[in-house]
Amino acid sequence: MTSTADATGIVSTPMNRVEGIEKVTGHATYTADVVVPGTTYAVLVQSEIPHGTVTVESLRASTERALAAPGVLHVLTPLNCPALHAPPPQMSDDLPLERRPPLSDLTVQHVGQHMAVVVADTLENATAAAASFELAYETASPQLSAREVLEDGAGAGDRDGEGDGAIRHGVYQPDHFVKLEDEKLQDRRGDDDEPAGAARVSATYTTPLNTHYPIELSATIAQWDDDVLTVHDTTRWITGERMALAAYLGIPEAKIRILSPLVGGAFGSKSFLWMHVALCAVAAREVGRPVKLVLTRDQMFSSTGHRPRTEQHLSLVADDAARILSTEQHTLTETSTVAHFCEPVGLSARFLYDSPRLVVSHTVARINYPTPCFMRGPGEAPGLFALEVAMDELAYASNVDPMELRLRNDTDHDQASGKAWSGKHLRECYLQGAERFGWGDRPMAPRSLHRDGLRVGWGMATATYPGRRMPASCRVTTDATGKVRFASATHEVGTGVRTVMTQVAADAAGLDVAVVGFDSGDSLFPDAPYSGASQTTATVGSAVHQAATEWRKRLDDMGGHLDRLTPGQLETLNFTTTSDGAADGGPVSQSFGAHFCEVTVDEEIGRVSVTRWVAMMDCGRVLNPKLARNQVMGGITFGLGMALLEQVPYDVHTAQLIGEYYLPTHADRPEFDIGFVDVPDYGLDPVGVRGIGEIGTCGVPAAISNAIFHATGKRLRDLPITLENLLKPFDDESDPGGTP
Amino acid sequence: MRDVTLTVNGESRTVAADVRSTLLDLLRETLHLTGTKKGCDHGLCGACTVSVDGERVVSCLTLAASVDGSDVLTVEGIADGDQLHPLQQAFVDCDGFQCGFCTSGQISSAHAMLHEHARGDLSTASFEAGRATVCDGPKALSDNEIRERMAGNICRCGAYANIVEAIAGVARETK
Repeated sequence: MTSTADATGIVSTPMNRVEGIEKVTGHATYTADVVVPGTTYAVLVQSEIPHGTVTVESLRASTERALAAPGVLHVLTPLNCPALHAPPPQMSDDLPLERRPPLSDLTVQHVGQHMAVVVADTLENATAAAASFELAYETASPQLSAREVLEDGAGAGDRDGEGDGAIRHGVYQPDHFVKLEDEKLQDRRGDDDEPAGAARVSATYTTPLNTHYPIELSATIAQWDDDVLTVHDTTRWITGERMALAAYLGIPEAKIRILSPLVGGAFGSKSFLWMHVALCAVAAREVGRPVKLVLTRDQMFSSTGHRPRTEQHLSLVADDAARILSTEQHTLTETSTVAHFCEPVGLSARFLYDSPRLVVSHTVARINYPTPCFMRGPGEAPGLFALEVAMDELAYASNVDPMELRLRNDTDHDQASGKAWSGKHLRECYLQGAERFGWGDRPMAPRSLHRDGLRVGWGMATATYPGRRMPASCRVTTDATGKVRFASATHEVGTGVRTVMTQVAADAAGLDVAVVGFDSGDSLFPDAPYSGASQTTATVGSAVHQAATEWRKRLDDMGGHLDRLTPGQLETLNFTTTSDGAADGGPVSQSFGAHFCEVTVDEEIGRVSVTRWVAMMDCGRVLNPKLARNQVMGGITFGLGMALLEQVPYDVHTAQLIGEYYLPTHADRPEFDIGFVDVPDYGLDPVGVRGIGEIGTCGVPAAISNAIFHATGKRLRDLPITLENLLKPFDDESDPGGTP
Repeated sequence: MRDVTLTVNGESRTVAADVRSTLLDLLRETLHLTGTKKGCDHGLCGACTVSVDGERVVSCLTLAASVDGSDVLTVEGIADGDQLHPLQQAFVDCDGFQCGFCTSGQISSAHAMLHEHARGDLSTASFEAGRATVCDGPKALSDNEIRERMAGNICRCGAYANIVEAIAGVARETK
């Protein structure tokens, strides 16, 4: 399938972002920038203990004190908050929307739980009144880690998922990832017992609490006009938020309008955790005025999701030709006591390498910590850290070059389903990436490269992320001046969707890009799914492509000249189309890539710098090379942070946040050489794309850890890799290649 | 409350300000100059960077009352009417952003940083470039100099390489 004969060729050109000028002049509008006359300001009060019950007396006294403070209009607490309904089960059973509505009981399930909302005439007054809250608690013993839950004797009953209440404890083993029944979280194939091989590596890998840290704070402005609710929100799932709010508030979806102007980064947050949005809507109804609520940076850690910790036990067995015989990856991870989430760590191991035997499991423990959610490369980012470091260990155990090991174990089909790939060019990624990096000059032995008094190491890892597609709709409107606008309730979170959709539309409609526009961010536009899972270009792109193709056909049927149409004919160029999700029974769509990097390590001060990065990506067709390169560089930088800097610092006894969350800065990133195989994949969608939002991150922490091993001989299996790890003296007796 | 008078982007503005108001909140909530962004509200991310009397500051850690009488330049004042400043055009052409939320701070910071460099201010990177650079200030603004001097502006999307390319291009042309 290709675009129409009238294709303009604008696809695949490095067009500047359509909203670029607004963004560089400060005129781009984000949620907190929207000026609504008469706005009042809400500030949240949050719990300070991980488990217990807040006392009614302290809530009453604090409320009285806050109401007496200057400018305060209203205080919402569990004592007076109008009862919110339970969220829709299809959003809380297998997605991380909390089962328990906010302010619905007096129990505290984690630090940072919403306890009150203070509304005042100014932000300063609301902040001061919220700060006057002094809550007292009857504390209960918290469970703060998965290990603690296991050791506290999570009984057999708990293993099956205890009860069906809103608050749950214990551990459980979910069958599959979200609503994707084929993506098994408990899976096995091959013999029951692990075979003896020529080489075996087996180790434990851990990844810490990471947080999305979009620079834009989550913000909501809620306004009621009679029974109609308008919400401006930093959301990347307009239709989901509408569904959740309708359920919480017990009103029809048709009475809710959600506007999500430009979103200042999400990376997996700004969806599902909408409790503060619901409270903002309730507050606006109570005070009868618009209410603006902007979370503080501290609250972003507790109230917008995070990537949960993982502890992964991974074993690889290979024969004397370094061909993998067996893969096992067992993961212990965490969710909150009020929501379901399972970081799907082991999904990649099911198919990435040819492995006749496979065992994958996931165990989730419910702990007294805020609810986690998807974060860029959910599953793949932590899972490939373990798998790709283990592959490096297997390479050393087998005395085979790490890339050669991966080439030997490459597969031509998806072993998990037995189906063919819709397109796979991983071998080209390895070979072209290696050529660009100069991998062929790499000495195998660790601690063999030096420069300017520093140790130098080269590492590589495979990247992979699924190609996904869901149903979406697109409206096209044509005005008498010849301007054609396409619109869908999707979101511009920084990925460039408005730009590439404009390109796809212009190309398929055979129009000059200057007369084409694409609008997003309003629930009045036709429905689109969440902007996540790297699926938006394939998903919304399919709807836009279908609409633009139909537009061109209709115009051609009427003579092909826009300026010669009657008003009635012009009206037929205003319509809405809906495109399907990925075809049932179609090929398996999966993106692949290869990362190669160089690090320098100063062992005297424990400093590691990532100096050089080559990434070759196989993500289908590249619609805009300028934006695509930026996306992949950003993904790598995200992974670099995960590898070397990022962990949410909190006190293990009180679960209180302490210290800061370090992120990569200008000074921390390598020189980049980003390449694309750029072969269209029409197996997933008519545009030929598979999405590039997340794959850049996947494999990055492993490539860095492997490079550090090459530089120093130290095999580091716990993230983030910090100076303490690097300062430890090198001991060449210590297990450089895993356990034979 | 007290009256605060600021010259914002060349225009004199007098407003009644809460003494607790930061310059950031005053710009955004009172003057509706929303180009300046709140990213952390405690001086870590740089998204709220503006110039006060020609020097870059994080406006979230600057109380409005403490800069009464000052000259404030925000991102909205950097272009010359409809004519983009070369930095702004370079950010567009080099794709020096993704979500755009840090961009106002990056551009405001870079704008002030070019002046700092022009008057000979040193950075940590200057000390790695030899004696002459330390004595006389760096002649050219190397990528390392830009990266060091811009390290206070976080871009979570990771458009750093493009931002440096944009700034370096402008620095070369204005040399």
